[in-house]
Amino acid sequence: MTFLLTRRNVAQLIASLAVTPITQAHAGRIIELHGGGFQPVSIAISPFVGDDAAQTVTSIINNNFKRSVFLKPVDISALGPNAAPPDQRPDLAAFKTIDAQYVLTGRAQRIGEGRLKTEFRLFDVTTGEQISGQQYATDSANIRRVAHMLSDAVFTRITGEKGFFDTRIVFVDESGAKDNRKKRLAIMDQDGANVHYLTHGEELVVTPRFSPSSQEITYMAFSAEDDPKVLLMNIENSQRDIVGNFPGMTFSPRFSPDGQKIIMSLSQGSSTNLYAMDIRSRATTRLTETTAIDTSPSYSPDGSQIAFESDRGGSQQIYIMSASGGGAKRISFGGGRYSTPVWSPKGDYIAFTKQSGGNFSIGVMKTDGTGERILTEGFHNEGPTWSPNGLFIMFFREAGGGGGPKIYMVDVFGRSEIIVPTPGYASDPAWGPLQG
Amino acid sequence: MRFSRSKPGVIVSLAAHIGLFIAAMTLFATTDKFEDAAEMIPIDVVSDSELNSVVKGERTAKEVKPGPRVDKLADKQDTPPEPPLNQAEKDKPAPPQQAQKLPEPSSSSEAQKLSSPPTPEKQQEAKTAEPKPAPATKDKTATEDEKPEIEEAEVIKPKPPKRPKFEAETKDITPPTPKPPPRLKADELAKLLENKKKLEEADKAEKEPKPKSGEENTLASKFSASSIMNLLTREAAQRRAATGQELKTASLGAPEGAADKLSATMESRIAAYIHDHYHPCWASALSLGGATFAPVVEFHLSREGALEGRPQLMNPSNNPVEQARGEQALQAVRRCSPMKIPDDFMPFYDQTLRDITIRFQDSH
Repeated sequence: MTFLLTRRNVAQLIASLAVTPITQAHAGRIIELHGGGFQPVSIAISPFVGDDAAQTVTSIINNNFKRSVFLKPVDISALGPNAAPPDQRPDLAAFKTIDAQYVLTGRAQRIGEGRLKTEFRLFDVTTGEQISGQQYATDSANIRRVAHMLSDAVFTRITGEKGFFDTRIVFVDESGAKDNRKKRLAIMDQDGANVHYLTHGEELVVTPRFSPSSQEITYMAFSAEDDPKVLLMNIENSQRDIVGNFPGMTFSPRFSPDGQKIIMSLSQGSSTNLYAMDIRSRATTRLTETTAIDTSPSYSPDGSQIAFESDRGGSQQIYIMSASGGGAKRISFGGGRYSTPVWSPKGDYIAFTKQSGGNFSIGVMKTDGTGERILTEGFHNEGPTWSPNGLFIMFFREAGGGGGPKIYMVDVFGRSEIIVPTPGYASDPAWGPLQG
Repeated sequence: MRFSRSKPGVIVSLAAHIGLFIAAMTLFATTDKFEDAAEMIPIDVVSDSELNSVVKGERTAKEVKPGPRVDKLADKQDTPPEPPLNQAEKDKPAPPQQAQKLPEPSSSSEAQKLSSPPTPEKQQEAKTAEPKPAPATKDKTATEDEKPEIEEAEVIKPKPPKRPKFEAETKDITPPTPKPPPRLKADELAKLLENKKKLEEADKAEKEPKPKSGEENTLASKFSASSIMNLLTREAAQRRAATGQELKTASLGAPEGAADKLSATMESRIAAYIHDHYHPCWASALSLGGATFAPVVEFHLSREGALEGRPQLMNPSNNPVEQARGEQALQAVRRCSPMKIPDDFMPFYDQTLRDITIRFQDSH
């Protein structure tokens, strides 16, 4: 018997040596325990002490964690009001009785001259140790942001994932009768608070997109007088610019991951192709050259690839190509039509809208097209957008029956779906980056 | 065609051509061949005597000492290199990012250190880099309310939300996260084994009859890498004690020697019991993004089923998501302890229940 020392053999040998410390140490004695399904981490939020600001902060944190899917606030009313004073170690034995894994205590109070001081401590109930604690001082007007930042710090400490509470959403606010609907760009916190309007409603606006690196958005606007065009707006000062001046209709814009480019569709004649434009130099690069309709482009997080939808094969499907164009490869092969691909900030999934059997679904698939998972399905679901930590997807839904669209949020595993409160009907959400 | 004597040109021309042809054939036949071009190869001719004189040397010449080797030149540098770290130091895990002093909950906040996220300096820098919003205070009115301000829908002029200012007073009161136990490297493992062996030998000296002369060497010769983990686990040593010459050595196992009574069925029953006991406490909520990482936790139970000491994560990670997942696995062990041990399992306590290792995996 001969032994060929091939590269594969060597690789296998090295791999077997690499796992030796664990596998050999416990050979035959490791009990394999698989997760028993989804079970959120339970956290007891002791009411923050202080003045009226403490109540506001506690309420915002509670609301954030309830919506977080992965953390579950537990009811601590049975423990009495003094179960966890802010400057002392809480009675952890008592918190074990209500099945809390973590205890959050804190204080928030105004300290004069319009200042607000907020602090928190996070305890692991099983060890009794304080595992995190921070203190914030800011203007009292920023009380909501402080509560969101505090929520992010706790969420990150427990899950290891980045937070998403201190983020904002740009969306299209819809009001008025259905046949004469007024559409305005609006911005709000991720929990629906702090709504502000960015446009007046004199023109229709769709597909707003947040810049990942600056306080800018890009969107498409059109009116009865003008062709549809892509605009760039600074949300700090409301200054607007037209992105490119093309002889044709431009739409479906989106920023590159570094925020330096905008990729969009340009419709000329019967064909629609993709173009990338450098925001500063306004230099434009044509990326596709077909007689089909290529649209809804979305960069991969590293900026090396672009996912887009195209009907070049006969029906709307999702394709991937190099960021410099060329070599497009179809990745969607399920039944139905696929559109609006959006690459996850983590790079692991592509979210999409799927039209099949008269329904519109929101789903995710791996970047090679495998592992398709439908997260929600119904009469009309569309326009997925990722949270900056890649754990949630926001989209809009029309239930049918003459109503209007509303914004919803679902986690990437489809475990929980919640509505995002908006003043009226709302569509086309775009999730912004963490503000911290 | 006819030849005419009055017109001899054709005949003359024909004769001239024939003559010319014959002459040419004769001349070319005698021409010398071109010589083949010889390739020029420079050579030096060295005679035997010259070759001998090359290696002969001279008696009157000075002795030539060999120059320093290239790799020795480093010794002559002004700043000597630092001594190499031993392996244990090299493998020391990086300290956690927030390795700051843990304040007691009752301690004052003055002792607390600056936070990592969010750093107020960065806030201010970012703010200066960005254009200031014109209506600097307008959005602040909305911050006090929990509900979205529908009234502000009336506002036509866009109100850019103002980024809040956070002062340098933002402090981190985060205690340092406990250092994950470092992975055992080969030399550390050897050191550990050495210490363990010494302890065992001390125990042997006290409790067991001394082995006959020469048996120590026999034992030493039996010591091999494959037996390392057997030494670390009492169960394995117990099983080994039932065979061969090692019966004469000190047993690391239980005095009742129940190893041979543990059937595969019983072992499976006990494993299933442990699995079912800890299963409810294993939350898979943190599997997102870290689903490929399966923390392995080793812990010890008393005969009453109580947790002895701290459960230990055997494969700690530097990845934040995996760290959190590891913590959840440790929590699962703590939350589900104690574990009531059924009476029929007690005879096998030493083999199966004293030391337990669980690999916490994602749900299927």
